[in-house]
Amino acid sequence: MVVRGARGIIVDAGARVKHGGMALAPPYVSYPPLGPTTPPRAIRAIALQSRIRPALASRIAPACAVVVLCGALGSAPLAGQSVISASVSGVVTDGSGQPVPRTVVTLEAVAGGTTREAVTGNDGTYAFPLAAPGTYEIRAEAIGYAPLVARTLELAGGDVVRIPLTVQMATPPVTAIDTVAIGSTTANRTRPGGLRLAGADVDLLPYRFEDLGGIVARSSTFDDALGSQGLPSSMTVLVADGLPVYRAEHPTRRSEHLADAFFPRTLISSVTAFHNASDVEWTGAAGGYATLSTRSGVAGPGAEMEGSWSGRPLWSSDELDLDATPDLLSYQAGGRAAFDIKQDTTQLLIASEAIQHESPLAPRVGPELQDELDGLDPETLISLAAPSVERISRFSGLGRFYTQPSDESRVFFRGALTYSERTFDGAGPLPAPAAGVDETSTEFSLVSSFLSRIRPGLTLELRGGVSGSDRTFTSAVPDLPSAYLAEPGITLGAIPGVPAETSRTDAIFIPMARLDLGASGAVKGGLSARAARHDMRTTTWGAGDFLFSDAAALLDGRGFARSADAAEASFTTREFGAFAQYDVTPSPGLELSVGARGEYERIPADGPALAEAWLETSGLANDQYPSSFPRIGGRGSISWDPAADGRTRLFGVGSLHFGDIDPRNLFEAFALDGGVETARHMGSGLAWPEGTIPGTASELPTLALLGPDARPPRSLRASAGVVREIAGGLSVHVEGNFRRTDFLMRRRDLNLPTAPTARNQAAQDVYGTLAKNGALVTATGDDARRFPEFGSVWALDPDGWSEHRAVTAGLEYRSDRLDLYGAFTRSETIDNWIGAARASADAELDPLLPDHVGDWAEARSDYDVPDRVTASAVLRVPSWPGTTVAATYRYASGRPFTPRYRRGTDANGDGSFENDVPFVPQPDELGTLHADWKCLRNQSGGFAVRNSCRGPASHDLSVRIRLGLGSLGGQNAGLFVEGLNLIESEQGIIDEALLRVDPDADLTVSGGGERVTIPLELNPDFGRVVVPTSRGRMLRVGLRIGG
Amino acid sequence: MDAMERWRSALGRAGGGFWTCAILAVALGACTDATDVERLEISASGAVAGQAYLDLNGNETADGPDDPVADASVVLTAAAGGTSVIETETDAEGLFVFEEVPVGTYTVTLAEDVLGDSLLAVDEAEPFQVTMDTANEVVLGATYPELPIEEVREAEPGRRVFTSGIALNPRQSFSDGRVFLEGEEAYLQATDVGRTPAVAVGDSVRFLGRTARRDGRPALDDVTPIILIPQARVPVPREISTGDAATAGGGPLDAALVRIRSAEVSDTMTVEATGDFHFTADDGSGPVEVVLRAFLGFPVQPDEEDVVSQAVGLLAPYDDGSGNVRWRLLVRSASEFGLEP
Repeated sequence: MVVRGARGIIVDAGARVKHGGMALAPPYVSYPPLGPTTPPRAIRAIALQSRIRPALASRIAPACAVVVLCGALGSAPLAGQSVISASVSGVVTDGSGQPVPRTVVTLEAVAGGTTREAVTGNDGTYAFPLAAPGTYEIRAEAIGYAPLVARTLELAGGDVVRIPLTVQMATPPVTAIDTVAIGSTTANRTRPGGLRLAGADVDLLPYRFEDLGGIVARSSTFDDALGSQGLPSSMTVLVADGLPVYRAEHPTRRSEHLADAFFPRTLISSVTAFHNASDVEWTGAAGGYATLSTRSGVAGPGAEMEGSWSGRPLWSSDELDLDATPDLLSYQAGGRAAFDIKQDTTQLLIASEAIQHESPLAPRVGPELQDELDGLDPETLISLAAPSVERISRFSGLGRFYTQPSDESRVFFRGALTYSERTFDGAGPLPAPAAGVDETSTEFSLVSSFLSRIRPGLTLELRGGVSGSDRTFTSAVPDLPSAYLAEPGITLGAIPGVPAETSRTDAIFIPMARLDLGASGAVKGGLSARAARHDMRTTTWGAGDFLFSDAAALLDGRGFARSADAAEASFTTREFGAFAQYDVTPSPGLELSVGARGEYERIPADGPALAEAWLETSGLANDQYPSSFPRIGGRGSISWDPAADGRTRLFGVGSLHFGDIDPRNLFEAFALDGGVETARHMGSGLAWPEGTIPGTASELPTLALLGPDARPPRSLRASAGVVREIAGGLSVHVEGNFRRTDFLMRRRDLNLPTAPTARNQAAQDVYGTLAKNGALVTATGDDARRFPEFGSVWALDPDGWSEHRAVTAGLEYRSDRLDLYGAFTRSETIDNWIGAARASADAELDPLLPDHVGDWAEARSDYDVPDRVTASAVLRVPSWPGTTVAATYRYASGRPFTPRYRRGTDANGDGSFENDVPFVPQPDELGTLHADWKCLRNQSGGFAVRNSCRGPASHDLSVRIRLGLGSLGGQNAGLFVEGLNLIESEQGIIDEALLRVDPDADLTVSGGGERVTIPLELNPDFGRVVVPTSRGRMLRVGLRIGG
Repeated sequence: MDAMERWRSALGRAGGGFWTCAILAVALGACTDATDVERLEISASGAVAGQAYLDLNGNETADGPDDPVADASVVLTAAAGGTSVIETETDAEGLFVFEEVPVGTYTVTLAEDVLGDSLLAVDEAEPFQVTMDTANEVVLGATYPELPIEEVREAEPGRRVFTSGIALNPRQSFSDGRVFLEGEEAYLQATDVGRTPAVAVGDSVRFLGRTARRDGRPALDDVTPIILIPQARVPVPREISTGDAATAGGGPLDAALVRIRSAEVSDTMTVEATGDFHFTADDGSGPVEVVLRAFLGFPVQPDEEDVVSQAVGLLAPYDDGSGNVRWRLLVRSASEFGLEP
């Protein structure tokens, strides 16, 4: 074995060690577990080798505690000595000779391609059996210790190398993240809480551009927008390098797609997804947590670069004429460089990345509709009828500075800046609840931490950071207000509710201390303070939201329109917290942890101005609401290895934790204080695209009021599982999860009339006077209001809840040539959170069904995705160093949806056409839908059940082939080819309309106006994907130099 | 759905609450959940009070002869939604009150069964706003429908209605209290007209009465008179031939004030019971029976072959004994009858 080119103290421990050494590389970012780790000591590091006898290897093996990797060490492969492969193992100790558990040891082939990671067990051992001969870099990133980097390690066939690693620098950070292992997903499950994906996964596997989401979605319990366990993505908090990074949120969209990773992928060292808050130090997410760590151990000074390119999609869905689309260019380029400012103790890392991704989108308007719209401005028409191009660009940079002023202290700074934009050439994206919109975003994040051991066993850490996010959403077609044509079901122009500006700036400061009590465990405690400044502005219906029956009605100016003033609010929220956690290992193999956290969140007490007219009218003061929220949460976990042999581990965890008050709710309550007016009009005199609504439409003030019990959401979680190694390198895990979240904010319109005026043919109450205009049926402009001088008056009450139950089963196999990972999650999510995923205030309103229906809201959640499968494989080609083939496959059930009326039908006459639920016709009236849709058969003769039908499932297969090209200019080079989205699944906008209004028949009113019959007809296109949104298959080729 | 139901029943709301309490009872508020949330509700209320009256003088104002509507149901209805009703009863004075009315927009009306088929609300129910801690006052009038004479003539018998016109005779012209009315395009005889106020010729009057038939023709019976404008207009008789008078111009001139001229007298007789003098007049177009009622004190009685120079009177229908309706000319006063010398 050769260890060469390393710095630091070198211990030559064997004949084959020509040079040896490990460098003290710069900082780690991961924080150490609070668990009963060995008390940290200052140490001089270092590396060692030796040719080891098989007998010695087998003596080491049984002591291993971590399942997978140690399992590989402890069983068959080492029993027989191979002459083809080599084996590397060792013990990580601190300077006093105590083993250091939970240290990540990485063995990376210098030629590229193979990166393996092992985690030391409680006895500090690690092992890499069956390593292919070649040149490797070995490095250790001990959580709580300075990283250790060895330059080069040459292995020949038959080598059995033992490298004891001594980690330097014994000033552990105080924070515990409850993830103990890196590099093996299964091993990570030895402690409850989540799934961690390490650098190897990030590097080798193909992802499109949604790096973070794509990576996290491999857990099979998160989606690629970071939504988890049946909650929207906005309830997941991203923690980067130990501090949360918040993104400014769109004022009305709860589940916008989180495509960006904020950070250059080249510096992401690991990503972890948690459902259960793994540490009492964390707060703010009633959903889950995704954490990422930026790299600490790079291969010393030097640079690495990667770039890739692609043109048009290879092929796409039938609806998209690729010949008609313009040329497309997608690329990704990134690099990282490291500088040793002071050898071994001070290092600077910088990285940057540029990404552009262009996709074609189907045109808004087909040839037939184009003819019917003849008469519009020709340029407008051309833009609507042309395929558009979506362009996502992102430029990110990151700098990381680490220094150790002394053996007892360390200082760490990290700054990141990302600019991203999403633009459209042409008419832009199609409207869908989660559709992307034009956006520019700037995000930054600064983190620093100072850590000092003030005496043995007692460590203090001060951690603080500032992050900011500034985002602007604009309509893709700024000059065209939204116009919906009900008969064809097509939207022209902008997407209603999109234009918005939103920004937030967060400052957080956490002082904390950790005290090791030796065999009695460890205690951690601390304080936290954070403040968030929010500035939000939105124009719900901007220049107007128009609905027309068809193209002729549009040209004629007959239809429905509404408009709204811009709403804006700026406010600051603050939170103070204190936390304590105790971890102990009462007996070998049994680990217990309990923690509690108290916090106090404060929102401005004077957010909205008092709406006096409303107070006089209703007796409700909109400036009276709770403004401070004390709360206490906690967690407890147990992890038990019954045989203490590292092959089986049982775990359970329960927690109660709180999210923050949703800033969107505050924005509404503060901005809609009576000064924002809306108008609606049904009839003629509309002008589109000029955006004019007749002046006779009354402009009425709107309000939003926080209820007297307003409070942040709270999640209660319980999970339990088992991990078992069933053979060498092969392990399985099974885990069950339960979550109940309370106090989700729901919406009611306080201006709903106290009683209906009539009933429709489904015996459903109708609250306003209906008027019909072709295929539109809506309440007339000025009625359906309890207080006619006000428009919508929202009550926001935290009476929503959501429950999720899931079982995940997974299998993992790791060997020298092949890594396999697969997981299947079956889950069920129910809630009463109407319209949670629909990005429209109106859609959150109760549909006002007859009493016999019961509580219609309690049903399958908008976010219920019962089945998720993820699988990945990495195949290494030993005969061609640096060559790998990696593939990922993801499957998810389709999203649930409710059979509806065609948009533009206000069957309950309450002034909203987003909350109307049809009566499902009898089986013999369903026509072909009866055979095609089981969900309709099951509920015919009743009102459509919320989320009772489901759209098509999604499949995603991507492959990355990396070919080692040897050395190029002194650097390793690799060529890679990525095939993305190789399975075309039927994704797109679904026609959710079961019933539509017969445009040619009249409304009939009978019984002295008490019964109104809306002429309806079945929509034969129900459930079909009417607008495909798949971006097509893509082939990307790239070059990687270094790394 | 079955699976969902099972889940829900097993670990539904109650289950969630149980878990919450059981696992982390130390946590503040952990035992409450979303189902316990106090929701924002509009609880403010105001009051609505008022009086109901029967508008007997048809002036749409509670005054004069109008009666309170006692023990009648009054209905409060949410204006923006028609079917929510709260009812209360009026007292003997017609007074009613709704307390604790949730704020909102309402209308108040007399119940349908109070109005029945014949009464109408005086005013259309106007929506009004009930605001916090304020009392709204509402006066509810019930009245009979006012029909023009043309419609009264078409109405089925037995309806109480108002109608208006110009009185063509004073009440005392007839011993049975008959008053003939002239409308825009038709005439009507009213019977049993109240004595007060005393109706005089030319008064613009409103009569409240019951539709009826008299001698086979429409009439308004049991009439309460209201004089709107005394001596509003001198009614002008219609010039008519005797032949047309006998048929009331084919019907349209039933109860009209008409004048005949130059008609030869025949068939004279005195009715013993009343002393009224009846004769037939014919100007060549056909005969018409003319009546000179005794109590009007005619200075002359025509003989056969006299010629009536002019006679002004009211065309009153009668049954000629064979089931046919014919009209008599009831001369209005002695001064309106003359013979050619």
